[in-house]
Amino acid sequence: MLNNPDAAAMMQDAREAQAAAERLLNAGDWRDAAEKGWLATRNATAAAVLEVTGVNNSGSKGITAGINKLARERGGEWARLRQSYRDVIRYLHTDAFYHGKHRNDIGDRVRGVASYIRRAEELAAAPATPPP
Amino acid sequence: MLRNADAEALMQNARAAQAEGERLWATGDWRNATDQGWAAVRDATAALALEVNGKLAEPEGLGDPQVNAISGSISDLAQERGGEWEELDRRFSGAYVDLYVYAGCYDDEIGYLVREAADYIRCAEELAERAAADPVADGGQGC
Repeated sequence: MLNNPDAAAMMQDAREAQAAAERLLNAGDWRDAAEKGWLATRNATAAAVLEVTGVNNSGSKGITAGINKLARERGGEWARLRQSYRDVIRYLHTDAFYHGKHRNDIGDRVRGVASYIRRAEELAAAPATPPP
Repeated sequence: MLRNADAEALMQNARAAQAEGERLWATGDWRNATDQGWAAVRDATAALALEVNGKLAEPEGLGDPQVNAISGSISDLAQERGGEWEELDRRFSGAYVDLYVYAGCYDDEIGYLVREAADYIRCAEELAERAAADPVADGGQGC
């Protein structure tokens, strides 16, 4: 559970977007499922950045800059989370939603966002540890 | 040295773009450094796909067909071969997002990615040479 109420609300919104993404996927609408998956990823990332840094980014570039900064400063699991974030932008947001490109792993990528949200929340809630 | 002449030319372009990217970054010209860094990663990836498959993947959907084909090529190779090919695909995602999708937006990450493109090129070339020597090799040998 996150301490910042705005961050907690964004994380809850991410979970709801992910549930919607999975419903769309099950209905065969992979393109809108991909975009809901991106929304879920984006909001979970914004929530994590807000919880940890106190900075509330409203735009996607600001959120990206926030996760980049945390990945550089903290490394480890934050760097791995950032890598997953980049993959979602590339595969779900750009390729699938914007470009209408269907790859055979789209379902796994959309379902994988649930794990991303859990990781983001756990990292945001954990006490800061110094980089290795 | 790659066997496919077009692939070798692209790999040389990639190295030149990366060096130019570093030079521009050092002068404070982060916008053009971004562009050169992306060109380095893009061309090294295209070279890898050409050397391994003799062609790029067919572009699917909308968007820039060249980028689409290059991105699809490394995605396909990652799926087929796993291991360090997957790792290279993840690194491609980093350059794709911060140097291409968000081109024109400053981020401290740009300098790192431009410098890191040198290692990306080295890794892509090593994988290409290894794949040419053993077409069915997977990505488990370390790059």
